Amino acid sequence: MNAKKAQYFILCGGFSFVFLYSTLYNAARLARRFNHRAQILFRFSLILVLTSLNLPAMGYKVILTVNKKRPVNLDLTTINLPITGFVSFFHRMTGIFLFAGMAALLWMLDSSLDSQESFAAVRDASANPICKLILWVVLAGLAYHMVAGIRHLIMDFGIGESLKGGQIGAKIALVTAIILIALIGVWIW
Amino acid sequence: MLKVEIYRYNPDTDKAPYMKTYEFDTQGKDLMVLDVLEQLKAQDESLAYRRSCREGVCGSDGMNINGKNGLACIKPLSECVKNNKLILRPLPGLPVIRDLVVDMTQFYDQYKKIEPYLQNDTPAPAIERLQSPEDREKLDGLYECILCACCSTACPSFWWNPDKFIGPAGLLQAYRFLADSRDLATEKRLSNLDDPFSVFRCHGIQACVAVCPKGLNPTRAIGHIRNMLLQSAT
Amino acid sequence: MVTSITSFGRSGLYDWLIQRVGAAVMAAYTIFITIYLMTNPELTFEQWHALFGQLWMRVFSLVTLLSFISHAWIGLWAVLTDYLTVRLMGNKATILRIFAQMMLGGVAITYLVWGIEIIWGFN
Ligand code: HEM
Ligand code: SF4
Ligand code: SF4
Ligand code: FES
Repeated sequence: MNAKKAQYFILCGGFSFVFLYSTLYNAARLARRFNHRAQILFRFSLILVLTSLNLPAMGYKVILTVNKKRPVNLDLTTINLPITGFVSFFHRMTGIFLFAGMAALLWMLDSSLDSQESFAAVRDASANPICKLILWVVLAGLAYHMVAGIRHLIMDFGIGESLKGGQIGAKIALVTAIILIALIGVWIW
Repeated sequence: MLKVEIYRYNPDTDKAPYMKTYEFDTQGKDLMVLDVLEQLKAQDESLAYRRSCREGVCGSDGMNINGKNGLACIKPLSECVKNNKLILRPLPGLPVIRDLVVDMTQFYDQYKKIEPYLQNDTPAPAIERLQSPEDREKLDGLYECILCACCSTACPSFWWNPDKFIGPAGLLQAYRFLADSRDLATEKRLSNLDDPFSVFRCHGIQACVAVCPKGLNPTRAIGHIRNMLLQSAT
Repeated sequence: MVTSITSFGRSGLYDWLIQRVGAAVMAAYTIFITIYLMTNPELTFEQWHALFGQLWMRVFSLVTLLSFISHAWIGLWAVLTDYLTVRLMGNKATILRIFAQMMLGGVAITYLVWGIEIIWGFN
């Protein structure tokens, strides 16, 4: 990796990190059920886990107060998320993740076009297990986001908007994405 | 004995809401959730909730029943009880006034924004403004809404932006007037909706459709509004 | 009507349409590249280089790049205005959100410049 490439890579990755961090920091702050020390610990571990896994800004206990006096019932662990909600939520997560993950794909494209040597370097890097894993995760995110995105576009045309239709569509999208992700795994390894 | 867990909060005595567990003997009957509440209230008068018609037409007893929003008066125990447990919480996302009673101001404010009344400046005919049966049919699946807020308070987009996103209930009504052949304010109505929040915060999650006790479909209505916006802009 | 200066297009509809068109372009590009890689398992540098050297491929790539930037900006802007709000976290949310949006803009522009350099920068 030459200096300029590294610069781009760090810039994109770093900014995305800060961006994710600030979003997720907020999420962590919402967890008000803990005492101070536990809260700090929780916050840090959460930020670490969430940023690395890019997990939901939801999914754990969130208790919000809109007006200092009145509580709000928004403990997400007590609310059923229909399958359509799960698909949509995961679409959002993969979308955020892809924005950071694009750095890896652009780096690959850059190197593969730069010279004979760097092309070979991409090939070699693709043999490294960690690189394989990264590539797989990014492509898996892309596959899921794209399948759910295409479902979105189909629904924008008014197809599958009924309760049943939406649920069937969500299941089809989920299964298709899992198959694609498995195939991508087979292709990489 | 059925275990009933209820979200309790009294602003005068409680610092924070808590869950209170009651034991309830159904005597083998498949009661409605509201029947259970009524009997519990007979034992514990401090329990607060709203209800009026007890038959699913007034929209006042929307609440979160075992994780899913619905009307207590028409939700039979057999459809919601899991593991012999009934968990009742207030509608999510709205400020809790007391126990299961929420402050609906944000919800009504959004309803107000869409100007939910016929607008027609032409002189009123002697009897009434006529509508063909076909035009009247276009309002089916729209006019039945009882504004119970089950849908909007199940919608994550509404949780995050209840002041900017109209929400499924308001949008269903927005389309109800857009679709009405007697209403002439279509252009104005559309231009009031064409911002990044009012309509476009809908991500088609369909949480609204999944809970509507009247079986209505706000997602489809929102799609129709989007199509109207597209048509008027291109 | 809710006004907002930091969204991408002039209106909600505009943003929505740009995001959909961008999605379709990106999907087409992804499918194209996938098929290309599947049908050329023993891809050489020369082949790959020649593909990206053609004008239509450069235009296709550039359009995809622009789609990616606008699509992601619109999407991430929506995410930020959902979670980093005064309602959820008090008054400092506005500062934080503007900061996050600037960061986001920084990444987006970096991606744009880098991407253009990749696509048009070699012979
Ligand atoms: C690789 C680049 C991509 C990135 C970084 C990206 C990012 C995002 C983000 C952040 C969102 C917002 C999610 C939300 O608001 O919930 C989004 C939404 C969307 N994406 Fe992508 N996306 C990419 C590729 C694609 C592709 C290839 C498709 C193909 C069909 C697609 C289809 C969609 C659709 C339809 C939406 C709208 C979802 C909604 O309104 O809720 N995206 N994208
Ligand atoms: S659309 Fe259904 S859930 Fe929503 S307010 Fe109307 S009746 Fe209630
Ligand atoms: S379909 Fe739209 S309105 Fe209904 S729950 Fe989802 S985001 Fe909310
Ligand atoms: S009490 Fe009227 S709808 Fe349930």
